[in-house]
Amino acid sequence: MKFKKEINQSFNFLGRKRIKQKEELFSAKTLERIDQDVKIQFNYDFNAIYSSVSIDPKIINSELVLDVFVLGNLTRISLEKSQKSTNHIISDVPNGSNLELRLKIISVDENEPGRIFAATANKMSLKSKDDGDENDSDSSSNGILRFEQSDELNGRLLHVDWSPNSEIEIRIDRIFYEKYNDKPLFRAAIYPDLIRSIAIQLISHHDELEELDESSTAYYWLKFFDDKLNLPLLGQDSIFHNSDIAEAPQAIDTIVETFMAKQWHGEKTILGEFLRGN
Amino acid sequence: MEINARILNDDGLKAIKHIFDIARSGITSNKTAAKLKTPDFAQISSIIYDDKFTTIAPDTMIDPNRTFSNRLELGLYLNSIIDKKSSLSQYENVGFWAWISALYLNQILEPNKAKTEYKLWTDVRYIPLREFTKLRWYRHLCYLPYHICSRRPKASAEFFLIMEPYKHSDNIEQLWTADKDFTSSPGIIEVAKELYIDKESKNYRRNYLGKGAGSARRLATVIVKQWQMNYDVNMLSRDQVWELLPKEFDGWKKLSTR
Repeated sequence: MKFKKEINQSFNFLGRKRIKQKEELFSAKTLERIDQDVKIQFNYDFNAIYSSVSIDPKIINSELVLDVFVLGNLTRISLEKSQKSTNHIISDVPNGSNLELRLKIISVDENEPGRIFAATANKMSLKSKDDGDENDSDSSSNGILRFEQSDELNGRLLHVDWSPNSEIEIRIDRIFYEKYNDKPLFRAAIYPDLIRSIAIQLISHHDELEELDESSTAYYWLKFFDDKLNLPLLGQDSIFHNSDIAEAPQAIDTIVETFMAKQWHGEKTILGEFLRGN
Repeated sequence: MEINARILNDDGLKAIKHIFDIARSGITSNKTAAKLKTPDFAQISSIIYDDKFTTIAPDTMIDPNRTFSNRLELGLYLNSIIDKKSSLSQYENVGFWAWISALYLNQILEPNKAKTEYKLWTDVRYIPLREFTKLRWYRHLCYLPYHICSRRPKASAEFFLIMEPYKHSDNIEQLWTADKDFTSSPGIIEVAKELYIDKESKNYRRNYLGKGAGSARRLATVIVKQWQMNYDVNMLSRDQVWELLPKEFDGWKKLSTR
């Protein structure tokens, strides 16, 4: 196999095809957890996956595999053509950690080891927690929206500060707050700037995040971005790495975009709630 | 001489935390380390062997006088005495991992030159959280080396753990947590060891974690991220990875062949 050595983030030089993350092609479901063993059912349509990427398994010497990552450890599962569903037990999965899955069609030709013919673009996340619907719990957002009303914002609606003890302080224009705080307009007007300002503060203090006190509001926001938006700023899946400050604008934009695109209470986005609620 | 390992109960955990909290009094920033002094160690020692504060851990013997020159030795030793199938092997076993930390506390805290004061950081480095959180678990100074050594061959574990036992270093923050495809690929780790660890000194090369061309940080956070889109990186051999490295790694390649 001849390797090309150019690094180009967008150039897929081996012609890898993308397997779409669709339920009818592949799905996974946690069946049960016993201690740190999680039993998962994987449902898949072998032929549909191959035909979706126009690969003929009779011609291309390949294998459909599922990589399961947990805490930096990899388990590889071979998905057989003859089956539609398979159950597997993944070990060493602490309660609360996420399993991440990536579906691949890989080469089994000895002349082309290590080649991917097709794969899902991103790793799919599967909650391992056994305590029910994550939406029932809102622990990571409790108590973090503490607005301090202010008359000194010089025409701005809000201002976000990082205090020395890692408290994120949110000051908001007093008159605007009194007039609109119970209306959908309030969230539509305030939240994009609020989330952007908080993301800027967290990323600006990235070297302090690992040592945050867990009772601090900064830690709550860090958890909120991770738990609710699936956008961690620390750890294995962090969307920002301190080594490359150029990543910061993109990371901040991603947080704001994800937050505003998410359907919150009543299955509406914040803007949708405002537009349809008035 | 080996003794029975123990598990701190709630009162034992409170007593240890109380000593830590007193050492931290007056410190407002988590970027400043508190200091533990010799009398504190005596107090902690009296707690960890007291039946009021601990219970015996089942079927686990441990050498309290064992010394470790680096995190790898600590991880390998813990891996040799802890049954992987027992509940002791789990991060959420707070009392056990806090007891292990307390037992080897003088080795997992950085001493001053006179060894009269030791730097104490936040609790998560020594006492696990009751609930697993992916932002915190890998910072426990005893659990992480155990975790890596119990799941990786020694040759791979070595790349992440050859620093002093008290160091939770940038290596872990930048590399272990960087990308699953980096940490889980034996071929890539083998190459990383050749590039960034000096065979004679058995230490990391200078600036290996820097932001510059060919650094380990770039390998883990940029290059492997791109490779995994195109290659089944976990199956790549050492030779394939070596050949794939872009030109920016040439300087490091030369260092590794000296």
